[in-house]
Amino acid sequence: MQVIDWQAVVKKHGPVVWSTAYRLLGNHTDAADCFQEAFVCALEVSRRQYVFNFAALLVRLATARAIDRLRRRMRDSNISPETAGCDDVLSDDIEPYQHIQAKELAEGLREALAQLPQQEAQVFCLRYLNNMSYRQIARQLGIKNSTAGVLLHRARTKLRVHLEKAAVT
Amino acid sequence: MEEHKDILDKAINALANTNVPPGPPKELTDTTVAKLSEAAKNHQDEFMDSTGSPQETIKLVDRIKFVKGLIKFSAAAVILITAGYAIGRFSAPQPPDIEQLRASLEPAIRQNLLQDMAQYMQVGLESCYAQIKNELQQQYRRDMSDFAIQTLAASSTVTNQRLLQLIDAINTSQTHERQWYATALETLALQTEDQLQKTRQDMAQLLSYTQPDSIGVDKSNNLNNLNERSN
Repeated sequence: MQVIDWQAVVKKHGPVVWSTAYRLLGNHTDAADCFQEAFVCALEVSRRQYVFNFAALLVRLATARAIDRLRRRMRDSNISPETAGCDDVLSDDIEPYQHIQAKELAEGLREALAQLPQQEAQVFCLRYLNNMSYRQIARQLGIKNSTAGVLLHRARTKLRVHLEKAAVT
Repeated sequence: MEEHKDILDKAINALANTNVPPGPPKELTDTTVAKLSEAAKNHQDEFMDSTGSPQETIKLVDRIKFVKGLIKFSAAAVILITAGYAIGRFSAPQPPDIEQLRASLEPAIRQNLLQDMAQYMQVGLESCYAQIKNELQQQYRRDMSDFAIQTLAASSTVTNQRLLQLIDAINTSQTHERQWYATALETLALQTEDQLQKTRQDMAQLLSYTQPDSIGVDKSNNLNNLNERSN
């Protein structure tokens, strides 16, 4: 059985998990819940198998949990996307309208990700938000490199269509 | 299309460049570590039995995973075997028409067989001819030698017989000749004696006619000497 110093793991990989969750969810509360869920899932995984790369595992778990929360959020009408992003901080080097535009684009992409199949959304997020290679994605998801490429292509196509519709409306 | 791509890329950039507050907060970290410690402790309690030794249990999830892996492996093996069988079946050459193949191959095989047989027979005959020739030569020489020996022996025998006959004939002829010579000599001697007797009587008669007494005495002495000589 693998002996893990979870305090060290949380300290070492916590920032990456936090940024992954926050970037996808866009608010502090959901990011915190996702953060905890990711580590608890990592604990469950470590009981079943030996974990060689905690960073990749935690990023994958955080992404999966964040996408689940995005889906739940889209189904739940009590929390609207607008209120979800209330924690955003304005940066000094961009104009407010650019910030609004970027925020809208990000929210549109979150909505689109919530409507994608789980695996396609995961592949997309791991590739473009966490800069993982196809090989790393395939290893983490237990799929082939070519399958990862196909899933990514499908995700891009669907996201593009969704964003186009959102832009038209 | 370019516009769509731009929209997607912009959205990706917007999401990727979302301002993330520094974190995680320390409270969240502590809470998470506490949760993890509690979960790990609970799991350890579940994992250990009353005696404190680890329970040898296999979870249902692990069993399902094992069965899934086994099913995948079995399916892969079946697919592989089926594909191999199908490939072998379809890639195998069609069974040839035996009659056509026989008709096409029989003349050539027959011709080759005849050539081979002829060549084989020729070689065999040549070897037999040479062997028989040698044997006949040897036998002829032996027969000639035997015949010469027999002929020489017979000729020598006959020659000896002829020589013996010749010797006998010569001996016989010599004997006859000797006998004849002896007879002739005897005859000659008798005739000579008769002639001598007659001559003596003639001489005596003659002397008696002509000779005086003295002379007669000498003559009678001479006649006595002659008789002695003749005896």
